[in-house]
Amino acid sequence: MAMLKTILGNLLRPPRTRDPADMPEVPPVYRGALAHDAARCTACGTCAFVCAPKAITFTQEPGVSVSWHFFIGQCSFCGLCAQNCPTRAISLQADAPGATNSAAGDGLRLESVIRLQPCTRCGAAHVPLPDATIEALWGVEEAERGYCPECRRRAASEKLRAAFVPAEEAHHDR
Amino acid sequence: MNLIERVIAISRRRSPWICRLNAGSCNGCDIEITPLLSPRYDAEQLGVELHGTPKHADIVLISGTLTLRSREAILDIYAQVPNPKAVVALGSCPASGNVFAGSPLVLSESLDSVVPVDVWVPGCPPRPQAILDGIARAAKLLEDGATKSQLESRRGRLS
Amino acid sequence: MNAVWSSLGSYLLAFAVWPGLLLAAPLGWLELWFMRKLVARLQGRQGPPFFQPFFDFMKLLGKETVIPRGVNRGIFLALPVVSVAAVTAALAIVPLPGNPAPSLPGDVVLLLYLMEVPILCEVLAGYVSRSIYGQVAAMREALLSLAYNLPFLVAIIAMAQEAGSFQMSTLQAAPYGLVHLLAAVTFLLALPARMKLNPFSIANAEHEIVADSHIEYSGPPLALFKLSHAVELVLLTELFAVVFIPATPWPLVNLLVYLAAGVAVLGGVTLLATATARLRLTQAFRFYWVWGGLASAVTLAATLVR
Repeated sequence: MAMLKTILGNLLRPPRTRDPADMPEVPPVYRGALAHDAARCTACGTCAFVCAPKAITFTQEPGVSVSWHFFIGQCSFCGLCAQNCPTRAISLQADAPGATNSAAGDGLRLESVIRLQPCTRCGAAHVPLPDATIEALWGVEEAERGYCPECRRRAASEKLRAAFVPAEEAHHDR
Repeated sequence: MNLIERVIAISRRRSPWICRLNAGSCNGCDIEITPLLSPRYDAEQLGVELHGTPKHADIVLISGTLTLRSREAILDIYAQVPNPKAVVALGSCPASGNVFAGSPLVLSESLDSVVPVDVWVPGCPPRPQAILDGIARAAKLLEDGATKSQLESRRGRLS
Repeated sequence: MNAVWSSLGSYLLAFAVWPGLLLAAPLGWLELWFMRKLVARLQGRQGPPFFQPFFDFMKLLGKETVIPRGVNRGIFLALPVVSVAAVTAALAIVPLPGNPAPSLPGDVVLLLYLMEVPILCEVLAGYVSRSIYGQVAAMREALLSLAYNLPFLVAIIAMAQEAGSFQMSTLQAAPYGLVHLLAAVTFLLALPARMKLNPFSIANAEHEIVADSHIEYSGPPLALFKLSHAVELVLLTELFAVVFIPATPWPLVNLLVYLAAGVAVLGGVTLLATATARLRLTQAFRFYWVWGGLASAVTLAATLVR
């Protein structure tokens, strides 16, 4: 009898079915497709390291660029990469990836190219760090912005040395 | 194309019967098929019917990692589906093996190397609306005669 | 000679056009759509579009037929044709308004026989397919038909006893009485199982045995089985209407009343199917032999009392 009441009640109400074009919103915390911001990526490789199904890989073209590759067909949408990314370059979009007619190879693969930049001091190609990272790690000296890691280390050690050793002695040493 | 052929082509889009094939899935994708039949998503509004036997199906939904033992079963069941047919791969596992790739018991390759796949639905698991969208795409391919098995048979007839 | 040809022509017309295949098939699809839509609406769903059964049929016509290895090809392909032909021939006997075929003495017996043929076809289809699921479905169907045919046959035979004739037109015109009411109840008891609906959808229990006894069928033969089921729906509902609903002198009004009664019966049966779960074979058997048997006994007793 309770069943009869339920189903007759359904008959009186409009159907709860949504049209295929008008499907329910994805919840804001939904872990959907990955988005990669090449400007913030430092190519540190943490995401590729923590990815359990190995959906993220890096390739490099020496002296020109580093590429971040992501294969949706291998992702389990766990979100570890976004959680561990030190510069928040990876984010999980709230929209679900759609169905594709293409083969597993294309359409399901994402590539993001990080262009290398020449060092402003020695000219060596390197992955540029985002400004916020440089500020946090190396201070805010404008001249050192475009340094490669090697030159940055050298500049930092020179600064360190300058802090301990008086200027004339240093000059003398050299 | 005469009228009857046209009507049959439209009917293929309007009445896609699906058959579920679990190739070694964690059941996540299979569970997401259940809401398709529920009041909110109601696949029947597109004419979809879930059938247990491949003989009645037009579209095979394959979910799960391809294991060494499921390969034969997939081939067997795919061969039982009467032409014209379409294959929809659900989730990440058929595309690559997902987290199971590299296991000695798992075929670490795409489902495409076993049976011709027409539509890939990404997600782990895909949302019900994505599965519905995948079925609708496959049904459209059936209408256009553009599924891989249809193209293959047409090529066979020509040569 | 001329009379023979004209009566043969009227039978052919009744078989092919009305109430036969040409008009019964769309009517069957309409009833099928009505049932599916009603089930969907009762479950709070949108349900299939209006032309869904037609699309299903046309799609199946355009599909390949897979014949399992080791199966007798002739029987496998003949069964759906026999099933459709028998159901349509049975419908051609039912004296619906506008039926050109004359009613013969004893056609009730023919009708009852023809109505058993699709069930036989289903049982054979299950066994001939060599599928273990198909065989289980065939066994269930065969056993269940022993159960529901008791009230079903008694309802019709009691009406024949009441009318004093085994002729459909006499049955239709029989004066109303208590027997009509009792026989109608007995008939309705058997109807859900005849239509293979819940709670008696034991032979086509897709959750237990994958599909019904047409499990190995595909393409046009499956389409014919589906068509046979659709026409059978029309046959059962219209048989109920013709035998148990009072006729008016106006054929057009009769037709509308019969169709409305058929849809109403279908609605009631669908409501029952949606509200209940599947019984086991033993439970269904017990139901039909205890309650169906009781109803049959009361109905037959009522015909004798008069």
